[in-house]
Amino acid sequence: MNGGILTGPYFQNPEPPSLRAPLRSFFEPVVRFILERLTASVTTGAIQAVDEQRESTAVEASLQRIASFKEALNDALELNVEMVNDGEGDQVDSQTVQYAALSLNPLIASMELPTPLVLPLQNGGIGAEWHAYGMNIELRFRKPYDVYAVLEDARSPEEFRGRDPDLERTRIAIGELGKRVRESTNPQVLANLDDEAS
Amino acid sequence: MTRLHDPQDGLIRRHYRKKGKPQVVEDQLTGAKRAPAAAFEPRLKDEAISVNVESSLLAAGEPLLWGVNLEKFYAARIIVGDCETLGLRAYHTPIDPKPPDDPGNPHHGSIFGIVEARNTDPDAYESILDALSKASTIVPEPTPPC
Repeated sequence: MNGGILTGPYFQNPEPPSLRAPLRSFFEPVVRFILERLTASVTTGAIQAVDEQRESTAVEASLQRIASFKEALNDALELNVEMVNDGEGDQVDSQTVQYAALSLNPLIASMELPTPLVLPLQNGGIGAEWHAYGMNIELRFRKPYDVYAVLEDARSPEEFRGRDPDLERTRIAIGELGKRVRESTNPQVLANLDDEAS
Repeated sequence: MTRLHDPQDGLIRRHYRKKGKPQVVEDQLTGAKRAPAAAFEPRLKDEAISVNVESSLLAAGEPLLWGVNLEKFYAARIIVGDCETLGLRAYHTPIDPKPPDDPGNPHHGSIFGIVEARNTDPDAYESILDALSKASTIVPEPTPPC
């Protein structure tokens, strides 16, 4: 026993601490942290700005599509009035028009679709058609929940002709049309296609 | 009322323009321009689709767009053979004049069968409209003078 005398390394004077080492070891992570945060915030800020701009452009485009659809619908209703006045047409049913508008609005708002051809049908119905990018999409809204669809694709032998009350099949076809519109308006996709072709 | 038998005989159907423009669609499978199905729909009160008969027009030396007010309408053409294939029947049904206001129509024709389909088999009706629309061509209009 050593009588409680502590010996050994516990009492050895340690070397005087380097002023540099601890400072570097303290500041380095802090500086790195700040720099990283700064870089991150600048990058995030830039991405956010681009995202916001993109979102704003997308919202504007969406509103524009809805406005064009509304105009096409109004033109069709005006034409229907003219046809009825001439004794050449049956009056369009307002509930059917409402159903058609409510069914198509979300699709038109969310997908990059051209404005459809909207036409009054006889017996109170209303029709909407897209003929573009290799696709024939024809919808005849006869009554609410009574929709006849013709869906044809030049790139596929499959076609659909029949009732599509909830637009389940139509949604897929319209999604494909939207995809093709997007591809055709995206220069990078077109460039890739050119590269593939060459 | 005379049944039309020549499958190549044309039937001219007028349809409304919208904002002055013909409602013509470009079929994406064939690339051909045609009328939409809406152009071939009968009204509720109709018993048949009204058309002008091409052979009657030609015999009288009239153009295919005879009687078509181009400010309001454009014209689509189908043939008797298309109708026969679909189980429809085409007739020459001249309309007598009713003086003093109604000049009648000596070239008037009627396509029967589609109204019956509408009333008994709605899916068959839609298929007939599709087929007529697909088979249609647009009657060329005279170019307006510059």
